[in-house]
Amino acid sequence: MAPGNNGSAPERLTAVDVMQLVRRRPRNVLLLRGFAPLAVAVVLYLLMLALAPSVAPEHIVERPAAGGGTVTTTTATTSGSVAP
Amino acid sequence: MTDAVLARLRGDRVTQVVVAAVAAYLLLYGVPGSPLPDRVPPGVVVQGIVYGTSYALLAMGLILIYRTTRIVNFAYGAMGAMPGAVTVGLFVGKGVSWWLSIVIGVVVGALAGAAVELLVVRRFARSSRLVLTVATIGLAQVLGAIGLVVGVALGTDTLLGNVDTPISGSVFIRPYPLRGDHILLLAVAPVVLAALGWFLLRTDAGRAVRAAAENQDRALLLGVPVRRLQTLVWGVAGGLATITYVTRVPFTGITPDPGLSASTILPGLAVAVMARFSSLPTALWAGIGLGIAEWTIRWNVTAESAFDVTFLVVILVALLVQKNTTSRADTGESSWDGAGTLKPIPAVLKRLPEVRWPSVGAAVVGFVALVVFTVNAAPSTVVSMSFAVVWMLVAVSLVVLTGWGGNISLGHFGIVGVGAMVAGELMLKWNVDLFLALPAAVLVGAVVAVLIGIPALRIRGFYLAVTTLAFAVALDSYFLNPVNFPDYVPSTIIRPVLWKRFDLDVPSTVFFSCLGALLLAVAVVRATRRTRAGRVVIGTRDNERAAAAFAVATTRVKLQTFVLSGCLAGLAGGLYVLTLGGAGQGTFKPIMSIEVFSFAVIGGLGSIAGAMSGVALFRLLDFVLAKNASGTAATVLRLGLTGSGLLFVLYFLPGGLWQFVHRQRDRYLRWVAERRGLLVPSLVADRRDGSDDGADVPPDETSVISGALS
Repeated sequence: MAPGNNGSAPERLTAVDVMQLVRRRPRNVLLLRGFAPLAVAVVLYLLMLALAPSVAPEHIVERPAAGGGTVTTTTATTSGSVAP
Repeated sequence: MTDAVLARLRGDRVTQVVVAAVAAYLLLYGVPGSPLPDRVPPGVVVQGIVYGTSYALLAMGLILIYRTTRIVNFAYGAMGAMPGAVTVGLFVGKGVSWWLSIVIGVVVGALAGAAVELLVVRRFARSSRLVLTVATIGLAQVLGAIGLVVGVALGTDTLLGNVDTPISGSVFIRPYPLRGDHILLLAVAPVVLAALGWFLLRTDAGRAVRAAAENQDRALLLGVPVRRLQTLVWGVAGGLATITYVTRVPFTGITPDPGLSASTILPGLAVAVMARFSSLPTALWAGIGLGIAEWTIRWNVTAESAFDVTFLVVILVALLVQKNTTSRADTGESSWDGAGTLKPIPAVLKRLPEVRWPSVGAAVVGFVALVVFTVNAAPSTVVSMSFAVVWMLVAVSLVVLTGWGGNISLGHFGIVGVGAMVAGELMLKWNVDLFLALPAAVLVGAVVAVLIGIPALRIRGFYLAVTTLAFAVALDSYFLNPVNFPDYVPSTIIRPVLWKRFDLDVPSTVFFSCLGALLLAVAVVRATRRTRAGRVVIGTRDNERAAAAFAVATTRVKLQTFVLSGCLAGLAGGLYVLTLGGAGQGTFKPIMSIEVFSFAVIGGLGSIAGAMSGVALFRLLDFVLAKNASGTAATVLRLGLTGSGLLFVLYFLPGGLWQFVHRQRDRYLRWVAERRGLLVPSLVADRRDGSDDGADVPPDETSVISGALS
């Protein structure tokens, strides 16, 4: 016995009905085999890196020069690379 | 008899290795052009033997407790240090003879050991071995606080460094002097070994102790007075711990780090792992070998604290060569107390407005209050809040590892430190985007977890705790030492500007960034818990053999749990370096790992909110203590509160302080269910079955159930 819709009298299910209910495929439509949210997240992440980078303001980086007591000075730019 | 002993020694593999090593050293030493006179001079070997013997003594005490109680006693160092403070205090502060002071100290140590068994260990007789192991961490903190108070009372709290005793005279063995105190230690170790061997193998009490360790219930049925024997063993261990401390202290000096001093207990743990927590003679030889290796490194390697890495390497190698052999006595080791598991709100009640709105309202009000407070608070307060959030993130990672997986990490801040190093270096040297640096820290946390986890998790037991502790010590003293790695320690970083808009030099921006990362991590962890992977982790924790019977690769599951935990710890490292503005030696002290573990247990490792609230509570306490107390008083208060809080919670509220909150929540939910006339079996079953307030089930609710059943 199963309850009827809208509180109506319960309708009797046959074995075939039950099997159909069990075998009913889910209605969800999966894009990219279910990885669509991940793909969207990755795209958004890459867009964030490209359009609104979170890097330090331009600053001076000092490193000991090879084989001497002097230091080399380089400028780290906001684009992410280290300018000579 | 002598022939029998000699014949036995000839057949012993360890003896053969030792004899071969000594013969090889003596032969090669005399060869012209041999590097040994310069690289390994006799004095280095002698110092190694002396220190190695002290490590062996530490290990013997740990093995004795392990063989009888099946736990790793992390309070062992403190059990010796507290009566040792009495010995040193009487000798230095009160002018009592050194020998009499030692005798008094050992007696106090034996009594303290017996008291520890009576007052603490016996209370946890029916708990899992993991819970008792965690209890020893709290015990270490309590004993550390008592030791500090004793030091103040006897006037030795300001003493640091070596203690000159009546036998401190020395002879010179190139390149170090050999003191009379060294010789005393060398003489004590074989005596202790022989006495312990005789006790365990030759006496009725020793045989009964070993039997009780294998199967306590069966031993009780056979009439063995198990409890009395446990008290005896802990008394012996207390005396042994004191002997170890007082024979070391003249030349190692009084350590300023009380409680669970990682550097004190770590060599003993390394030796105990090499001896597989079973063989006392192996512990002696392994200790001496480790000591010689340490002093050879000290003599030849200029890098600071390189020997701390030795302990880590030794533990990892010793674990890799061990087989996963467990006895029946080991079965109860790795299960976290199921009584502490906190249940979610039943589904039937979750959607009700009187259940949903209070929680939503509390969250909104809490968030608004937090924002208002942060905006108006002093910058230093906001920075403290940021650190608290990062600590909460570490606590969440411990929920995954210990609350779900049932494994202990006592060096989680080591992984945090690696994450901090990587993120800091990427931001400082390469000006990498923050959102690339943080994932890099996460990745490195995962890699470190794999590297530590593979040797430590394949064998059942508490080896992960030992290994992570060794890693945390090595990271802090060696890898984060700017002297060793000047190019790889981000002492000061330039904080990035978030999305070109929000300057992370502003404390409130850092705080909200950390808060956002914490919320994201919590969401990920909660989602993971609902997946099959999450359920498998819980199943493996609760019954590893049953999980294995269902074709679950239990070691892989434990490793995956540790990796997820490592990822979160790595993320915490990235946020830590962002908050602090740099990292270096002393930033990630090993004691911090033990503290965060204790805080999380007190809050409740069974739930994310519980662990986070425990950390928040103690960080707040720290903040208050820092403003109102200083020096020894603050340390005593901190250790005493953390240690006693840990013991209290483990005994009375296995689910942590959050369990208390859950009880109130369940009380409210029952009221709601009653008003609505809903049948919620889990709530009622909890009341009737649980130990909290099960006796007062209202008659109408019972009738609802009985009516439904009929």
